[in-house]
Amino acid sequence: MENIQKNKIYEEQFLLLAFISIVTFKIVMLPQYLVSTASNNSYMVMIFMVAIEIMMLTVVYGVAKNGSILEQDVPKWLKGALAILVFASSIIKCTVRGSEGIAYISTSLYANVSWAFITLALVMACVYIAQKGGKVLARSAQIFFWIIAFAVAFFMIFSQINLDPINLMPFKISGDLAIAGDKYLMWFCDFTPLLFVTVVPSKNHGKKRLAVWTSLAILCVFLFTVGLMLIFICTFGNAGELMGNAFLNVSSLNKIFFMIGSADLPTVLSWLVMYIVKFSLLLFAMSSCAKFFFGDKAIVALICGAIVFCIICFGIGNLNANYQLATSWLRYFIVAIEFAVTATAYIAMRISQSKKQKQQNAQSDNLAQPNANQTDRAQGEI
Amino acid sequence: MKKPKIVNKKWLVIVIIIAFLLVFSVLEEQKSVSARSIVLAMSIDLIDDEYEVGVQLLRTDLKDKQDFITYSTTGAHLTEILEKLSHDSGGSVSLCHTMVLILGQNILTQDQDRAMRFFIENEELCNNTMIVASKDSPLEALSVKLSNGQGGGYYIGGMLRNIVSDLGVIPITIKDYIKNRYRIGNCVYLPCVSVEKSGETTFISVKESFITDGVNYSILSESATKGLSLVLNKLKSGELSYKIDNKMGQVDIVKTSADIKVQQDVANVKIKAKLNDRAYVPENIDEKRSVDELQKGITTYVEECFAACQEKGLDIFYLAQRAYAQGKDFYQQNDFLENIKLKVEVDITMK
Repeated sequence: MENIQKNKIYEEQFLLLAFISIVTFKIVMLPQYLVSTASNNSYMVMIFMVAIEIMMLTVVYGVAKNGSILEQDVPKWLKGALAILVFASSIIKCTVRGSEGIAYISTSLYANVSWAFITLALVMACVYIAQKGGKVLARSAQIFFWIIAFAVAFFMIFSQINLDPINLMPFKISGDLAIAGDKYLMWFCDFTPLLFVTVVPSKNHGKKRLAVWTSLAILCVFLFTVGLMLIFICTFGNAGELMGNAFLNVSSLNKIFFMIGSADLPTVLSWLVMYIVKFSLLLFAMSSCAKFFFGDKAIVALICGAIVFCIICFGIGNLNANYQLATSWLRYFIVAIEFAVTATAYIAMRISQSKKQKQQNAQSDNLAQPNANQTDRAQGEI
Repeated sequence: MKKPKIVNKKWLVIVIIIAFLLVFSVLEEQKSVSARSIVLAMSIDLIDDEYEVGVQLLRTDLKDKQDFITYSTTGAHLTEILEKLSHDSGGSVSLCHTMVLILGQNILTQDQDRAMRFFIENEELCNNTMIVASKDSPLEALSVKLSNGQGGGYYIGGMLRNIVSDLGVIPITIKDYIKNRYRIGNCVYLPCVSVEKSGETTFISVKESFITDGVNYSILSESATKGLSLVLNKLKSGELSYKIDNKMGQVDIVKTSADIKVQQDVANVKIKAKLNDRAYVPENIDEKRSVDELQKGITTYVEECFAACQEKGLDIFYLAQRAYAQGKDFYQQNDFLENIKLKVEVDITMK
């Protein structure tokens, strides 16, 4: 019961978590990788994959509004199987995504700090948030949202970008798009961590308001991912294949540079907070799965964090090794898990619901039968 | 009975994280701002297969006076050079606030972008750093002490902001440079600076443009540079002068736009210009004649620019890229640029 309370989040918080989950890692290294494979039309890969991700998240929402998958009335063996699969998927994503974020921090914030120190500090903070549960995670995202909003406003006011739409032409659907979509699958399909929260309706908000927030969230997702990709291609053209860190490269083109020098701190900060939420979300999924087997203890979350730390620092260690891992066959394994787990969780939830419904119907029939007899008897007496 | 809590768990975790971060900061070699040499301007050239790099810093030891100090060194690898410069300047060389990078002709035509890729891929320089080509030695342009007391590099950095409207020269950043290098034809344009002396006065002139595809190059004259700025839609303000019957006239540019359509053997350039004749109109000359003269002048600028580049095989109007964008493949023919004829149409509206 305590677990349900810990992981209970409101609908708007779910939208914010979904937004951060989709956007965070699609705006850093991915644009560079996509441009290097599919050049000027690579934004189409982004449109297609993000649309799929949004559709899958609606399925996740369908599951989560009935409770965390581990708390629902599904067979225990199925819960166990799903937990193992999500744990495997999350540990790989945690290490791959974690390494990408650490590379970003080590280049953007610190010049000489080793990965081990940055990873340790981040893992500790994120394990703490993950251990606290979905509620704290969602609340942190809500607080961090204002930093993201400030960075976007700063970018909009001071940006100085000369867009060159010729870089987007010609519009051509080619095999390169499929190759790019396939090669960088690891950066897409992040649905399962949100299966472990319970979504409840907001206290004072009606359905209309939720519809508005949902539309806004979808619009923002497309603006942040596809919009950034379009700006990136218009600004750098095919030279985008040299530009690691698209978000930073695009947002650093501002008027402030001529007044006080390079001013990229708002961007760095806003991405950093998104990264913390996303990394915590993955750790939260990992530790939730591990806790299903080993009990709800803080040490379980700590061990999960320690495993991730060891893989990032001693197994991966640099961005090139991370790229090799992310584009290896493991990507198919991850995507298969993400789709299979989400679909299975939804089907299992529906079956359990229909069983419950049948039981309730049977119970109400049983209750209605004696009442009818009683009425007949009463009428006879009259 | 419940035991009283001595330490709140939340605060304990926060304190531990802060302690860790502080320990790491002390252990690691973090350079504070005072221990860094903040570079304002930089120069690179290639001399006998070695890089010659110069950096200009602001002296911080003088309280009332603004003075600049330039360090330079040579070496085969840029990492090694930056280390040497850090050693010489007494602080870790920090390039992220560099306003301008002055490039020598050799580095632009013989280095195959190795140095530029180093700076971009290692994110040493900011995307907004301006770049210029130097007609003479880039180190000389960087280190020259101008008559106004400023260092050459710092002066160029400050001047580049308004260069397009004042002089018709297009300022470009590292981001623009690399974007253009990745276009079909690999052609880039840069403002071309030269150090000039007139009596006791030393000044820096930026009126020409340096065009290169990484191998061939051409230096465009002042008028051809204006033609380039007009065609590439960069000259949106400033002045245009013309001459009728030995009388000089001058108009202000209110707005210009250009459009290029490429076909198999022809490139049609349409330039629309909204001008204001309040600046200076010669006596007894009607507006129609002024417009005719301006049309001729602009056409000459554009043709001069195109001819100078076409002769060296430089596709400066990005005609091949434009053909590719239209989905045509005739740009792949070897003699595509050679056979192209330029048709310029100028539409002037006087305000």
